[in-house]
Amino acid sequence: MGYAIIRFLKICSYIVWMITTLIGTVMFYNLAGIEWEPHVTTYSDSVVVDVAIVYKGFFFDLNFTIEVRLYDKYNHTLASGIGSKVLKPGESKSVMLVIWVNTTKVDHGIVDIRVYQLKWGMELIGMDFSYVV
Amino acid sequence: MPVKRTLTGIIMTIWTFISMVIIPLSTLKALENGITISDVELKVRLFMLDIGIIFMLGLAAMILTALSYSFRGKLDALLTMLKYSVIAYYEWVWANGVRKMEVLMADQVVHVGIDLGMWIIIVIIGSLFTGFLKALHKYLEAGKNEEEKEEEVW
Repeated sequence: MGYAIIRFLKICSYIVWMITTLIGTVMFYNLAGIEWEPHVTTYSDSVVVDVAIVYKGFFFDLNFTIEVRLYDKYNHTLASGIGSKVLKPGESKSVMLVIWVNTTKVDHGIVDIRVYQLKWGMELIGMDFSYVV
Repeated sequence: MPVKRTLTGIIMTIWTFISMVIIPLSTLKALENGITISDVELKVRLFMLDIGIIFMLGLAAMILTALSYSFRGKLDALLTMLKYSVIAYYEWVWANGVRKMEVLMADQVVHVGIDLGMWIIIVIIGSLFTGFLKALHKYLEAGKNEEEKEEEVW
């Protein structure tokens, strides 16, 4: 009897292992296949960032968040903007940020992008990218 | 039968070290030195990964694998559970290690972080659960064998 239970639980543990491996593979595949293209338009009093996102993944939803921070030459924050979208597999959406700032004072900016795989509102695996523009 | 067990033990011991230390760390070294994809050189640096701990945990898992194949019975069960605990901690160290990376592409530096979140928790629980069940199976089998031997003596 005890052996039968242990054997059953062992099978369960192998199933858990297979499911976690499969889920991990799908999630990393989904994250690797995200496409986004930012278009930046600069005006004298504002910067408009329009990001087109294409998500071709499977099973999991995608939470895409972009944050843009603008700095002057002394590295002081002048302005920032943040936008977020949740995409279902196969969806394409865009995020638009309008950052009100005196653009003559802007020296550089930092773009932060966070992408998370979502299921039933729970964040599972995520990646964040940060680069200077 | 003992020869088969010894051979399996040797192969598993070597494979444990290769899969936990040699393959991951040599891949990491190759990424740090730079790889070329579509004529663009790519370098990846990990800041939070403790290579020393990875090496030590791989070594510990290798020793525990060798010992678990050298002993039988309840000690084998204990060593199996210890090995799976080491593997679970190894997975946790990797999960923390990839949280902060730097990717160098041409002139651009991109700071990348991977948050394995809930998934790695499930993976670690799965590892510990598998280890516990394997150890329990071995422990019960050892107990049964001891009882049989005692009966033979009587």
